[in-house]
Amino acid sequence: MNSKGRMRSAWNIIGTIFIIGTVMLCCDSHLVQRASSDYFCLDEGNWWFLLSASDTLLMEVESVDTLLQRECIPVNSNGYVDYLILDDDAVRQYVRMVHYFSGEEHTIIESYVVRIALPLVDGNVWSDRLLDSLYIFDQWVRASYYVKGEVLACEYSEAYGGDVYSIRLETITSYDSADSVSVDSSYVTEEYAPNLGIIRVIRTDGDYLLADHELQ
Amino acid sequence: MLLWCLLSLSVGLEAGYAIPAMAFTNIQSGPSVQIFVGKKTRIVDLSLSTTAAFYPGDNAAYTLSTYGIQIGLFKTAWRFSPVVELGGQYLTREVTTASEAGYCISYLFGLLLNFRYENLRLYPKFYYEGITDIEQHAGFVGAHMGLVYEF
Repeated sequence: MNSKGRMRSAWNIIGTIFIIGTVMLCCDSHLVQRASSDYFCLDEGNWWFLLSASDTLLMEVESVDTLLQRECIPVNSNGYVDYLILDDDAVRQYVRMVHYFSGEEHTIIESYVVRIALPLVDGNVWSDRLLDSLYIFDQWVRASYYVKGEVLACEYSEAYGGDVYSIRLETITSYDSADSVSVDSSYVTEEYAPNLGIIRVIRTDGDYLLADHELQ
Repeated sequence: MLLWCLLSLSVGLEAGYAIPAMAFTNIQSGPSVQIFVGKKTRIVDLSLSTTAAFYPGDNAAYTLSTYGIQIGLFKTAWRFSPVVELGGQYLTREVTTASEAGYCISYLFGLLLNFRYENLRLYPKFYYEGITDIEQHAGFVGAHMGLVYEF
């Protein structure tokens, strides 16, 4: 083989290695899918049925509503409705904190809080807080709603055909008045699959896994 | 041989803008640049290029960047020349302090409009560039302005 032939063979080998290497790397990373997929699927009529060892959780997207002059998406979870807004930078949740005094309801906080920062990127951490106070019958009542979130992991799932994001959310609510302080905290871990939505919810009352779903 | 290779080469720079056209819904148009060396063969002209593109997100804290190596085929002797490129890209996306990175295959097809002045070649290029990680396809429509010096 002359030098020209050897050079051509070398280029063929380099080219083949480059193509095979590129394809193998691409099969492994799924970054295009992660960057372009809808991980929430909050379209009206979509529902997810999740099962734990002893309970069930039905989440259903209802028709668009308007709260505080903003269109929001009601998501009904076993009868309890969360009102969500899908913004460019976050999934926001409607929060209303009330204080009962002498049989009357007094709204201290009514606003939207960042529930999940968008887009989902592994390792991202965020927090948001709503804080307000109200003067009710000669005393100040202060309320606080604090959310701290973190994208814990992003792992490929063959069952769901893509990378699944695991998100941990910590919520702390507190009421503070002259004669009492009450603080309540809750933790939830949620998992989301590309173009499918929620697939797992881990709460103190159980580990719910997706059993059935329907997307419009 | 080496002298022949160098003399048949051309070097060029392209720059322009690309707009997300397929799959991406949370990023805006962004600048992209390409540096390349070209070589004429009997049938087509070949190029080996490195590219970089930067797309700001709808969320101001989010960015998507791509860096790639591509092999291109085109015909400089024609006024209107189709162009095809194939290669690999390294993608990064960042939001505040968190980031992800990965690889994808990229392919490009488009049209060049060649104008010549002595050893210089100037051209606008209109193209569609697709990227895929096998699971998902996405793409950009773009326009570049290119300047090439042919030895």
